[in-house]
Amino acid sequence: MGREIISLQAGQAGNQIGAQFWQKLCAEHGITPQGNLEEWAADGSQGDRKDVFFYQADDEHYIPRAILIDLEPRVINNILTSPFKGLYNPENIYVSKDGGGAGNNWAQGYSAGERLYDDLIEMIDREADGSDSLEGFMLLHSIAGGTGSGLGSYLLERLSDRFPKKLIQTYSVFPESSDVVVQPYNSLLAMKRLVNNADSVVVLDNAALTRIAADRLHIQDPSFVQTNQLVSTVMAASTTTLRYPSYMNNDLVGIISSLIPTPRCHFLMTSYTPFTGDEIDKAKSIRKTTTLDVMRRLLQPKNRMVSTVSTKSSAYISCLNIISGDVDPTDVHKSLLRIRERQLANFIPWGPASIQVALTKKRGMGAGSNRVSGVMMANHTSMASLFKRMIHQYDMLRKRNAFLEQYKKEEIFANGLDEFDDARRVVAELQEEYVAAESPDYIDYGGE
Amino acid sequence: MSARPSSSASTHRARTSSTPVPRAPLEQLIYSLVPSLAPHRSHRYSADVRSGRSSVASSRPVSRADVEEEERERRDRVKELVEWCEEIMASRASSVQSARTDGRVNESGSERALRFNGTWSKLEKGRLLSSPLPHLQFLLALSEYDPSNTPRPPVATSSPIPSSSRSMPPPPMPRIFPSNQPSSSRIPLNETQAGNVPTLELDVKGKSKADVLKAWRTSKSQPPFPPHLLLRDSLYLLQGIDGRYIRFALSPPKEQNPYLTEKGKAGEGAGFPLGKEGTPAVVDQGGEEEEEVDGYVTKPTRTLLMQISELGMLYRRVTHFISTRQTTDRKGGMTEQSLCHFLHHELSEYHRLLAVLESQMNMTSTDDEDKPAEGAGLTLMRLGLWTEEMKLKLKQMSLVVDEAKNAHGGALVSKIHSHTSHGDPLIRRFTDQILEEVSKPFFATLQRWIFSGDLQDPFKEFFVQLNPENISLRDGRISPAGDVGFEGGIDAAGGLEEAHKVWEKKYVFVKKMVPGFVSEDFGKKIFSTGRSLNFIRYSCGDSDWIETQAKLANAGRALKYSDLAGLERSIDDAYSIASQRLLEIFFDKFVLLDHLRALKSYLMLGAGDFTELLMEALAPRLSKPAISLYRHHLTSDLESAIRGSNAQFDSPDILRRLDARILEYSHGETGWDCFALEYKVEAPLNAVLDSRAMVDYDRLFHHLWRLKRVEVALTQGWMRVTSGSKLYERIPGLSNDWHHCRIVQAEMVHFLRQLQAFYQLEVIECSWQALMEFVNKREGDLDALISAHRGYLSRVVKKVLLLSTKRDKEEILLDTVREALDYILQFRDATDDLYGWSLAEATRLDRERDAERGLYTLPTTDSQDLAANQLNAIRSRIRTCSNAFQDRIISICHLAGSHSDLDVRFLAIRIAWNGHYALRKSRGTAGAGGIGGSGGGGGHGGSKSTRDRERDR
Repeated sequence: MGREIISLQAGQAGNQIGAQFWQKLCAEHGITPQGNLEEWAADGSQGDRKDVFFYQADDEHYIPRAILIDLEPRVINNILTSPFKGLYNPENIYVSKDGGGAGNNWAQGYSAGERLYDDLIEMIDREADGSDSLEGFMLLHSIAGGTGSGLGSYLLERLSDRFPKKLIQTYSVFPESSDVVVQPYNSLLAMKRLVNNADSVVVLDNAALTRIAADRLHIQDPSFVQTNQLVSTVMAASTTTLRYPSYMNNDLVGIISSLIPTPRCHFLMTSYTPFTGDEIDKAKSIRKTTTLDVMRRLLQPKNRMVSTVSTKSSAYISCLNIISGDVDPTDVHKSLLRIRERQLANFIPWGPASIQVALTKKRGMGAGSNRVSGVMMANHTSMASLFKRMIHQYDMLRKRNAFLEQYKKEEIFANGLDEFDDARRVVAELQEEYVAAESPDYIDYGGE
Repeated sequence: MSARPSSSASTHRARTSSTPVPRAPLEQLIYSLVPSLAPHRSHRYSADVRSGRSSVASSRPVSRADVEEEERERRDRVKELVEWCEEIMASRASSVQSARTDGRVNESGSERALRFNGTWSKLEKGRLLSSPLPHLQFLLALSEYDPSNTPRPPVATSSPIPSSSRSMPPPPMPRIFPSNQPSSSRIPLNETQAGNVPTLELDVKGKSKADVLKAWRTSKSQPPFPPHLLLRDSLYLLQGIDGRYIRFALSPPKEQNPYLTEKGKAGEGAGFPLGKEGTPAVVDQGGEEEEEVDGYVTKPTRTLLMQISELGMLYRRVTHFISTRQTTDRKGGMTEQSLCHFLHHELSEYHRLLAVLESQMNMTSTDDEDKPAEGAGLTLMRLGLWTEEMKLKLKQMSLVVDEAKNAHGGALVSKIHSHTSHGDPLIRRFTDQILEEVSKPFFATLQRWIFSGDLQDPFKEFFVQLNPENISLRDGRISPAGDVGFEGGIDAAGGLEEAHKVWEKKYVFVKKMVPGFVSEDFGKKIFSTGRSLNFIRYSCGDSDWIETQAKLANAGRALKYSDLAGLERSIDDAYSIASQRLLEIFFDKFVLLDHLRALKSYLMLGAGDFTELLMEALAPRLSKPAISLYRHHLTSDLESAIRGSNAQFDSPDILRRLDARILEYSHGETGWDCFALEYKVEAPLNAVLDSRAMVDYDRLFHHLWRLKRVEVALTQGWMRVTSGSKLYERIPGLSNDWHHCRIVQAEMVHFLRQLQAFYQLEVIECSWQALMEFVNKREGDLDALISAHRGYLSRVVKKVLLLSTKRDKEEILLDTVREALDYILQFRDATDDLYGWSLAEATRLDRERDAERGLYTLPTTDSQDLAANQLNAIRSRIRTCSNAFQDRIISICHLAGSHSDLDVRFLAIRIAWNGHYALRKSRGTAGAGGIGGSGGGGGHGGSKSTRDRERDR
């Protein structure tokens, strides 16, 4: 079978998200924490494709195609003491021996990546060789800190070099302004790689996650575990079409190609509804969630997992709704008509765009598995505001030349801070392009 | 009876005084005996008080003239009577005086006396004797005259008679009466007339016309026809046999008999009801009557005979029918046979009746024929009366028989049934009886049909019949007379006969054979029930179930006509059981749903992983010319696609049906054009998935497969154009081209995605859901299932292939879509070339750079001009494809937007969701010029011409 995707989890956030992501996948596919199949999943009648994310060891155990990387052992140790410790391939877990971490410094993480290149690439190669037809990589990380951001950036560069024909998708957690002092630096530097070396970036904004946790789940001041759970939910949902193949959207390229028309504008925002975490199931639904409800809510900015500022001219470049659960196809049809009537979504003026809907029938067990839920993946021009803010924050920091010493220590900045400027240019260009995409003239964008 | 005393009384009187007896006492005597002759009190005139007589109709209001008339008449009669009495007495007296021998007395006087006696008895019968008292007085008076001379015995015998009972049979009549007396048949007639014309036959002088006629006839030796002979003959007639004197006419003498024309209509040649001797016999003596005994038959008698003989005619007709049906070996059918049986039964009733009548007649004939009027014995009147009920039945039977001549089986039952709604309860009941019997074979067949699914109908009487076409189709395998299923041959032959045809065509519903008591809908139900059972038994090979089921059903109740409500219930039950079972068999035993799902997954590409693998494996092969395609390669690829995908978990039974096929191809076609995935079904599955359905599935696959291929091509293109852009970003002057490519490509992706999503969601899933609703309910019979599936499939086909209802333009939209798809592929090729050119250019630039740096490179083979030319060619190709594609999309939007199918219209909405195409259309010319880069030129010839020019360039 084909279309395998290798997940790379880098840093604290990446591994936390990853741990929960795998947990979810196991639950959906009926894989026990030890990697065995549950009884109900053993007969192959699920119509799922486990091998996209798992492979089978000699003893028929399912093992995630996951590589866990961190420069400090805390999170990974947590994973290794959790019930799922037996799930992962121990050879795919890399924890820096010195355990010092990257000190929230992009440059340190990047340098560590260079240092560890051989070890890392060996793991990646091994996984890639173990796949029949590798479709691509999925990087889970945050871009605020050191490891996820820096080492992740390094990995992105290397991956796109080494596997030019493979897709690279990242689930990148964008920082809240208060997280780390130097996060504007880290973010900007990582952004450059996300722009240049990734094919698709699913942007998850900590600010938005916190807001959603508060609004939707009524948790004030949520922990990272809780916000990361939201991320893993979105990840699991947005990969359902890959794992439960149907007529369309069965591979990553299929999804991405319809979402991303031009190479640089590949930053996707997501929405998910309705949220019901295992631990955060306080939000009791008052009435039956209809398909229209789901689809309408997915379009609401407050459900987006990115805090962007929409203007009047902000528009969807593309939009894909993946609806799962017990859905009546005629309802979807009606909902589409309704949404169009009410003009709930604004689309770009330079080309055809519309809401795509993919239906999946997860056959997983467990309560509420038939409940209608939906995830939206959209390419939206308001993303520009995020980059603008990022640049702004960077500029603020950079103006003061604050906290640059730590960066200068590392090799990449040994010859000056051009890298910063270059990164800023790339992000600024991206922002410009997103703004340009709001206008009909985008057809001739970038003309000489 | 009392005649004798009266006559003797007058004799006495005449004897006692030879002088004329004063009239008054005699008159008084008459009055006291016959009160009706007494003068009416209200009309009494002083002049003739004594001769007053009350009319019979005295109670009626009468005019004076009438009264006078009556009075006169009465007086006449009284006078007559008195005279007559005197005459008797005189003759008596003289005879007694002159000749003392008893014989002589009898000779002369007794004849008259007896005649008086006859009149007397009639008067008495007419209830004219109000009380016995006057009689006794009369007798007393008689005794006073000459007791010694009175013949005692008669008085003694006769005197108690009037007092005791008038209904007592009269004492035997002396033999001396001539046989040409009025026949017994006339008695009732006379009875009725007795009151009015009591003196009609009494007189000699003042005769009535009838008497005159009679007398004249007698004198002409034409006495009334002996009634016993008529009786005997009429008994023959009742049996449909010509009598000696009365015969069935061979042809209707219309002008002679007013009845004849009427009845003549009913009768047809064979037995004529009323052409009996009748008139001619009377008028001209010889005629048809073989006269041994002369005599005339009065008109009422004749009518009576006529009515009686109608029975014979009916009988003839019925027996004729029975005998022809039974003797000839033509296949009348079981309904007819049972009808004959019933008729037989009824006729034996009739025969019994005849036997009784005959014995009655014999009783009569042993007695004196002239006095059968009382109690026992047979008269024509009685004959008519006693056979009345039978006549009704026979009429009904003959009616049925008439219908049986040109109806058959169910139709006959139906016709008979139409008589059951008769107002006459007798007829209704009788018809019910007939039906009960006649419908037995029908119900036997019905029972067999709805409980076992066997058609046992050797004479084709049932309203379900083997399809004659089918028999000819499968020549000789079914003996036309019997019901044979598929003789196992079908299964053995591996479904040579498509189950669909079997289901559809094996039996036909013959509307005209549906009995009237079964409505057509109901008949259809019956039809379907048996068909289902038959199908279960022979096509699905589940006869065990049928057997047990049939036993259960048969044990419960027998179907019969008299229990129509029960019949309805049984059939409803049987119908639901059979249909349910058949659906169950299809869904459970033959896992129809799994097959449908498999068709949806594999032929409609619902199983994405399988499709992808198959596409991936086949793509290199299919890109080659069709001629280099080998089936075994395809099948092995198919096999590996199955192994590699979730399809492997499907049941082997389903997977073995999947097959790759190479269609007929013509020169120059590639593998893409002639590859087909096939799903094989055999009996009985092909009752639902018939060949027509499979053709539809084929068409669907073909289109969806093509779509998938384009999708794959497009995503691969995306990988190059968008994701792979890093590789050639450095090349100057191309970014604009690439950007345009990407924009157009995004448009293509969008179009394709929307088309696919439309197919997937609005078409396939929605239709599937409708089908599932039926499946979950499982209502109706196999027909319902077939039509549900057909509905599902045709809905899918119509919408996937975007078929329009317009004739000749059915595929106009589909063709446009295909063109658009082709342009996408061409575009893809062009971008590939651009990609190749870019790489080459990049290499060239690298070399140049290297050369600048003084590194040795291979000499560049391509000149820059050549490269530039190539680039221009590529550019124009891309532009052509883009424009052509965009044109197609616009016309697709246009066509789909005005499509008759609402769902297809929604496709237009989907494609032009954000109004992009409407927008572009409105600013068509300018936009097209813009894309071309150097539009300029002639300007306003419309977008089309501008594009054409661009294409030419």
